[in-house]
Amino acid sequence: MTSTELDLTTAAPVPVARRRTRAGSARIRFGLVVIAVYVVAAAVGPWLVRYNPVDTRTADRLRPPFSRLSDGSFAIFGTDQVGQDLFAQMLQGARISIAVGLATLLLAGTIGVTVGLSAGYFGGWLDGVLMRLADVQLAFPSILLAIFIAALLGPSVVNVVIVLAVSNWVTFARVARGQALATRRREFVDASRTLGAGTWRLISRCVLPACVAPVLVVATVEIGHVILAEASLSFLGLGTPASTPSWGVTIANGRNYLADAWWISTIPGIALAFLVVSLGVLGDALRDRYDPRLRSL
Amino acid sequence: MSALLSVRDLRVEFATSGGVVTAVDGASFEVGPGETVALLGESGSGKSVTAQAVMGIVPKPAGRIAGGSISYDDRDLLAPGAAKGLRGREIAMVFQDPLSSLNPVFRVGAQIGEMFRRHRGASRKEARAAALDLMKRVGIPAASKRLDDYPHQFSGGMRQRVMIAMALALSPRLLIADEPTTALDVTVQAQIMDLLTRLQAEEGMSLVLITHDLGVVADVADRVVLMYAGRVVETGPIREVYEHSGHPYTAGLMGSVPVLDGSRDRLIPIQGSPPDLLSLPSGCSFRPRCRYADTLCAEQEPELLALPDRPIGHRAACHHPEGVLTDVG
Repeated sequence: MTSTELDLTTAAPVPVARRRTRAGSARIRFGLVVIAVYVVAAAVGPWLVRYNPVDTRTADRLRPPFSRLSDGSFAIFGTDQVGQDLFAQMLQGARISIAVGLATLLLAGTIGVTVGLSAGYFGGWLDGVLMRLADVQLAFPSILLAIFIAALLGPSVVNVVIVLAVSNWVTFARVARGQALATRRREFVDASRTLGAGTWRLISRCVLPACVAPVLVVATVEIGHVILAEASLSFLGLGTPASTPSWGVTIANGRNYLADAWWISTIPGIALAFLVVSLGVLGDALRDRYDPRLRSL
Repeated sequence: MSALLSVRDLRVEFATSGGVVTAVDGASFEVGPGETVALLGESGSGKSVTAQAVMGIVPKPAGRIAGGSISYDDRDLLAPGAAKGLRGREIAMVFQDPLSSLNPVFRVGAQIGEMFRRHRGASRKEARAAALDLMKRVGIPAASKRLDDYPHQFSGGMRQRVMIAMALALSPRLLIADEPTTALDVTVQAQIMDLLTRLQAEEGMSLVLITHDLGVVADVADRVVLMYAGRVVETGPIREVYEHSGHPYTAGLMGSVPVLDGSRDRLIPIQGSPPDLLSLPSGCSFRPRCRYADTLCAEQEPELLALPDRPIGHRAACHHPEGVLTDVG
């Protein structure tokens, strides 16, 4: 039976140096590239293609994509019901949507991480009060809450940020609290305390750094939701005013012309969906890579 | 000699799902200036919890100090806020596992230097220079290169040296080392013990060595405090305790240590298993494992008393020390 033994040893060579790619590298690269294109378009686009919200050109209204306008310019995405170039409008909208998304995350993240760290680190009644508050908030559908607050505050870009931050801080709070709970009993926190570190220093040097990676992952997933929520609010007329045409405003404008001019709503919708999906893919890939609970899978 | 650290009748309780566990039950001992005291005991004997109580890091909310006093240099360490100014400056601690006791997200140079920045108001540059000096002092090779490494890039022994460097940064007068060598290789253990004793001599500080390893402290400690089930069962000068054990538990430990020259045929284990802190026997908690036990041991908890005809300071908590001493001698 020596031949089979020989076969076994030769047939199954151990791959000595198998190249290991880290989890989700391709998805992370894909997500980052798509987002980079959007960000560059939002940052640079409005300078290249002028957009004036009060400009109306009735001669060019409802032109389909790839048509030449009366002034000789080329409308790649067509025009809307008042003759505005849809492409210029979308570049302007990208700027607003992304800015609102980032500002909301910053505000919601600051509130959420502060609340979560306090609750997780100090525990006791503070933890109970803050987390029950979070539970109550989660019990409401967030878009309903956002509509309610938006109706009270009135439409403006700043109010949209406030509204969305109020309905999104809970996720950050939960993640930060979980990390604080996991970290505060770690030995190096005790070691720092025995070497004279006070409460504030323990939180800022030991617990907060442990929150950074998971909070960034959550932020990536959340920004897609926030941009979508902003568009929903604007679509309902409770978001940004018509003078600052976010994608939601543009989609809402095209709603009445869907039968005759599908492109007004459809093209911004596709752009929005693609961005949100890319952000979701990136967030998932980041979580796969950095969430220690998934590492063994 | 007035004591630097004095622990009196310390009681520490933990609330568990099975009931309240008294991890430390009336422990008393003293540490003099410049003295090395070994706190010996098996797992669950309460030696680490005693250290946590001294440092003010008993895990909350499960654990609480239920009684007794801890005073350092005539200051009450258990008074609210009293320990805060002393930690790091006067009293410092080295932990068992040097990887988990270093902050994983900061470079070691920054972590050591932070001691100077926080307590001495040193600038970034001064702190870095001081950290480099300390790393050289604790024997880290190529210290200037390793200053910017993270804890996980160090070997176990080197990490423990980093931890010792941090603890010694502000020249404390008392260093508590909680099983500083347990997580290390045997050869590295000896190096770390050498380092600790050398630094102790240089600094003239007191050292409390917590360990379950009789051999680690045999050549180093001046005095030994033996704990069993949260109580101090025997204390005294280390040679005296090792050679003339007055408590059957100590005698049992000595009998179970192998001797290198092979003069001992078989090791004599201590019968039975460590006590369940949730249901301790009445009277002496060592009673079920003790061959000297009688009805008195079941009825009355022995007190820590001076042994007859032995040097001052040698005390044991046993009803029948004469029998133990005779058998050992």
